[in-house]
Amino acid sequence: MTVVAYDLDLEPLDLDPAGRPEPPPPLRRRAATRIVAWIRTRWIDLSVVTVLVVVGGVVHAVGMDNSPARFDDEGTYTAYAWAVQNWHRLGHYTYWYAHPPLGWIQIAAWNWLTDAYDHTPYAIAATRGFMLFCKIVSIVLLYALARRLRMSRVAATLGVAIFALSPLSVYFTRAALLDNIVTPWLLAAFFFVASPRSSIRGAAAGGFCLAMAVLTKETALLYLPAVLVALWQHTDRRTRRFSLAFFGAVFVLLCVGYPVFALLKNELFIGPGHVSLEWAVRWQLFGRTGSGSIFDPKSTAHAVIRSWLDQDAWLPRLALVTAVPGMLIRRTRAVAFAFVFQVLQMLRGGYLPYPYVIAIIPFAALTIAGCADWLWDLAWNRWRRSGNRWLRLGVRGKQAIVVALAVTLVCLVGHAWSYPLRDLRTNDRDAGKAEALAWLRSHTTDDQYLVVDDSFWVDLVRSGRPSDHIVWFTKLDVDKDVRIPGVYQWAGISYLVLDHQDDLSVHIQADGRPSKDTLTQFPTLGKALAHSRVVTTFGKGLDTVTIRRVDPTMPDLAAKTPPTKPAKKVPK
Amino acid sequence: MTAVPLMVVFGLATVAMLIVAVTSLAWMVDSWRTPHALGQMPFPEPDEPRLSFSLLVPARHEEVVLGDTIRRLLSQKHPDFEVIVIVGDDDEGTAAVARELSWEDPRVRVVVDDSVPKNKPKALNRALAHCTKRVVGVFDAEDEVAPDLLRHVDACFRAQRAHVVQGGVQLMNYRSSWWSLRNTLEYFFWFSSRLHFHARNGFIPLGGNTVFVRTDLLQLVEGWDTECLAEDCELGIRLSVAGAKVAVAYSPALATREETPPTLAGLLKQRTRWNQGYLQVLKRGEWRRLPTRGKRMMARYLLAMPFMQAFSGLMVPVSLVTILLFRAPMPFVLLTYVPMAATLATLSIEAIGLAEFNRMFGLRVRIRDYLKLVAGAIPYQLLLATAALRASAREMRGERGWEKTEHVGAHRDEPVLEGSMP
Repeated sequence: MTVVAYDLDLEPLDLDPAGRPEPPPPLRRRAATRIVAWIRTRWIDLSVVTVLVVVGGVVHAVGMDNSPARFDDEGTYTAYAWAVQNWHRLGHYTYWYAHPPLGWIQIAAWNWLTDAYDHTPYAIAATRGFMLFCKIVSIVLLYALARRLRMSRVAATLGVAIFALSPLSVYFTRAALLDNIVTPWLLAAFFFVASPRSSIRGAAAGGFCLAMAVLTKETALLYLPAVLVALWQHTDRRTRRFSLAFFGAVFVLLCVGYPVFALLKNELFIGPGHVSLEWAVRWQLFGRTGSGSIFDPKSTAHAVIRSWLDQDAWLPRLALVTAVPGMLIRRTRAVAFAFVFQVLQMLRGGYLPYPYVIAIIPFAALTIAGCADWLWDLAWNRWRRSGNRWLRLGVRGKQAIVVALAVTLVCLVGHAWSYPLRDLRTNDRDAGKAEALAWLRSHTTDDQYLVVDDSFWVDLVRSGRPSDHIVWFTKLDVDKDVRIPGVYQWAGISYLVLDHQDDLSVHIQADGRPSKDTLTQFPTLGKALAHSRVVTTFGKGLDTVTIRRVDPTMPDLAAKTPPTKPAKKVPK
Repeated sequence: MTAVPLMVVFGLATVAMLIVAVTSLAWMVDSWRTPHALGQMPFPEPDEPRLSFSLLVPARHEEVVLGDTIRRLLSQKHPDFEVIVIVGDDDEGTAAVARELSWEDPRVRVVVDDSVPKNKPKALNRALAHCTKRVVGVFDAEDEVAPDLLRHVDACFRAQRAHVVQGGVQLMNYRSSWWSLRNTLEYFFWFSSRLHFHARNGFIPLGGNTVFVRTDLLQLVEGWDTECLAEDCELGIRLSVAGAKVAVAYSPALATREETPPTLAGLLKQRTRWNQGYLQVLKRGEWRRLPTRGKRMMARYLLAMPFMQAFSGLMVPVSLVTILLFRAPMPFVLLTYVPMAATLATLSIEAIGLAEFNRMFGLRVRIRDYLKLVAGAIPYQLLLATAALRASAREMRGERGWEKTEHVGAHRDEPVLEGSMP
């Protein structure tokens, strides 16, 4: 029998049928009171986050235009965004469903709102400004997520510090890539789903943010299982069906908008004479050459992993070590699962994109921080207060070990990070690209056809070149709208501007001549390469950019050269 | 381009539709918004009864069901209540049944209503003068009331320091027809969730029965509005204006069980009456005296909601026709996805609601019920839109007659539900 204590009788009636129009406090003051109260209860967290944002933002921003050197993919998304803003189209060439368009629509919105092209040294730098914005939002969300997962302030700070200061993270989060726009959406999805009150609204907001992430880059779909784990953990049996239904409905219906868009344009399925979503998906899933096994020292995948470890040897290894315990600890289970799921994807041996690591980093950081938090909690609370005298035994010694471990790790990692971080701050790896652009502006004319790496496209078009005369090298022979006048397209090209990474992707040989693969896969480009000579090069090593003059009167270089071994594959 | 103004209109309609869809979805699941909120849905645990009740049962041509209803009411496990049956002076059949009941049990009294023309609010006002107890409760002649209800209401008044308690009303014969399923779900979401939301926000249209008001308060506001077709909603507005505290409680075992109208035409009439009633309340503007701007906006929106909901539901077929008939520009066509997505989202939440309903009432889940739910979505929207149109037309022509709903007792013949009654 429940003990209840209600009123014993009705209260005297004290109502006026005409109503009592009590003048409410003015809206502004009410809002102000609320904000003050909100700040007052969270001022420690807010101060910590402010410090983290400033430190993370400064480390990210100082030198972000100079390192890494601008590259083709960055240029492509910037050019897409430029086309959205200026041509109201989804790309500077026919949109072919390579990725959903939301990512560069966001870039376009940012560049339009901030008038970014006019305030940055080159076009991609404008987009990199948006990356800084995404980074700051991610820092705030990552901290908030850690707190929602019941981590201590110290642990949350540790997680954010790893994310904000790891050289691997700084390097990649600076690059103007869709993955960096995915990160805040993804973190927001986890944040909302981990609602402390298990609210339906949180589930719906999580579904919305995850859908935004997927519509920014489809690879975010791989985080769905981990988000579902987090959602399950933070819902109650009694309201779970509604939470799941809201999450599912919002997520699915928004994502389905993308194929519906394709369907309405009659581009959902493969058909003659038009691009299609089906073809793009098939190509992404099955058409791309796999990167090989990450354990095969000769594979591309191995080289990619190698390059990550070169940037930061500690973060990936620590994350791998803490992954399994992270899955066992309840509060880090979802984020550790997000990390592990991505690692398992890498083991599948499919196509491993170079920036694949971007969206993983925050989850790796949280897993490490969560495990550290758990260990700390063990040493300072559970061992000390345990009823079991064996656990209490030698508590001081055990605590000393934990402290020593922590201090050693911080020193080691801090030392290891300091050099690459200094490089990222001071080294101007972009100088070659900047010089190449300046050279092109002064040595070529408006009527010449330039076949370029996309990182030059927007800058050249913005400086007044006719957009059909600036041709992105991958679009030759592929896009039916790209046509250089003349009997032979290649003969109409004046200059070829390719960087080291472009050389690799079109299989140019170490001696600079087109290989057999170049000629079969990129016929027009191959022919032009075969009738070209190097005019000048800028930059060093991986950041080299080469400018070639095409001369139809030259003898065909490719025809009589014996096959030589291809250039060694080194990621940029 | 002629398409531009058309697109603007269509875009605005889409946005409006989206707002209606999102708010009605949010209100539909308000009680499930957090596990904590779900704990607020049922009645509080009853303690020793301390109040007294006058239960009003207006009955007009109800001789078939009235006897059962009153006998059931009399089996309430509460020590202090009276039942007042109001019959018309022109309805000898029902009056005879009522008199017989009053001879059987001294707690039953009969009040004769001689007003012309007759309607429910007039009957209720007539009875109000004869109420001797602390709290007035209203039931319809066909209601199946849980015997434990009054004890819970008694406790609820004191636990929540309420002036008004609105209990749950639930249609039960949801397998009778395709529309009874949807009608049942509407009741379910309305009483289990949406009314809780409105009560919390200090502005609530009350239900037509299982509603309990302090007698002194009812006398203070001079009872029901005899000219309004939705007297229950209207009373709710006036009580909200007076600042009354309304407690809403929904426990499946305590919900008053009712039937859907027996025919589609009946449902259409009933809905027309409600809509017209809402329209009247909106026009009357009593809600303008609500204390804050937020509440006034809410009132305006709520009272116009049946119309917006009806027409926004029609956006889907209209969009489909638009796509098929016109070669519209791309953004225009893409816009038509919005109503469809909103409809699909609503449908999926309704399906979860049906599952929840079955769970709460201990009913078996059947696949064909879900199929009916999906298949009935657009026809039901058409029905709602028709009712909304009819209501507007009648109100404009000044036809304010009372189209009463007939009752056949379908909820009592439903074999599936036998044994599930408390």
